[in-house]
Amino acid sequence: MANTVIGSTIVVDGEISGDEDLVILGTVKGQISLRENIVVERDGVVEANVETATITVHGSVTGDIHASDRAELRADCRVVGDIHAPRILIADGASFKGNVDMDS
Amino acid sequence: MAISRTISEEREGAETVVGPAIAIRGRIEGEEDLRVEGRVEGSISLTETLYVEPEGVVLAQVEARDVVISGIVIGDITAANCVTLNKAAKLVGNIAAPRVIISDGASFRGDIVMGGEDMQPTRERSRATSTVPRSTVSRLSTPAPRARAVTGSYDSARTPAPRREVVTPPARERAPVRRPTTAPPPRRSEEEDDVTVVIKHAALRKGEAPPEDDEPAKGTRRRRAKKSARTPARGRSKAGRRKS
Repeated sequence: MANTVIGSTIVVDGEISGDEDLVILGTVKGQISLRENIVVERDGVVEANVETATITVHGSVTGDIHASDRAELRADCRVVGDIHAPRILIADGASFKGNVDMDS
Repeated sequence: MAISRTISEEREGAETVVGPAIAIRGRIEGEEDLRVEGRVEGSISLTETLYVEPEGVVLAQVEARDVVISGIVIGDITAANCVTLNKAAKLVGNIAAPRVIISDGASFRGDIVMGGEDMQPTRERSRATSTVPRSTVSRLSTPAPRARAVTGSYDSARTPAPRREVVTPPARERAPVRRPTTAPPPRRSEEEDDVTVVIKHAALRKGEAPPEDDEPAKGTRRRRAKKSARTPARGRSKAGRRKS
């Protein structure tokens, strides 16, 4: 319950920061820096540079991702940007364009 | 964990939550409820309800249909429907909303405008009065912004005025314009009304020097009083005018 949800009709244009899980069903533009988990749901759109512990993408992310723990690109996701994370999972069906860096 | 999360999302469906450990800086807009338990700076624009929970802090310009505050808000709020300040609410900023509820214990500093929606119709109404019988004008012009109501009535009186001075009969041409709104009086009395208006306005225009603020009120009041006085003694006032 202690989790933050950006609903499907919501557009956030700016910076989101904090220490809490974030679920994105809507649109976020700008910058996200968290120390917890981000889930970008199927219809979620992120046009931002993302810093987080883990990120799971079902929707679309445009921007660089820095994950201190893990980045998961699930089937049907679309990611454009560089990914820095010690563990990266790319599922069958995911679409990804960018650079991957697994050195941490 | 992941499963439970997805379930809870679906249950919450149409609600966005900014959790207690989250800060958002920038603009948030959307068409669903937003619940702020954390911190939002910038601006918020919703077609639904904004809830600011007890731990929530909002430093933003807020536009929403309803706003329910139990936390802290600093910034102006414009609501299409209702703004509610609950017991623990703290608000610094102005409120514009047709309904405002402030509970005991809430703290608030700022202006409240509840007329937001009412005022516009009023203004329009007063503007419309320029084409409406004077009795109505004077009644309406009191609550409405005076200057506007008066300029309106000047115009309407001024256009007929020159014509009237040239020829007397065309009065009837004008009469139809007013008649639809002035149902009751027979045509003759209406003409006479017009005559008196012309005089009044001529007088007003001559004496335009005195502060406009005051004059309209007086003018309308006088005109109105005159009319009531005139109605019985109609013939006399007309005769008097012709002689002079």
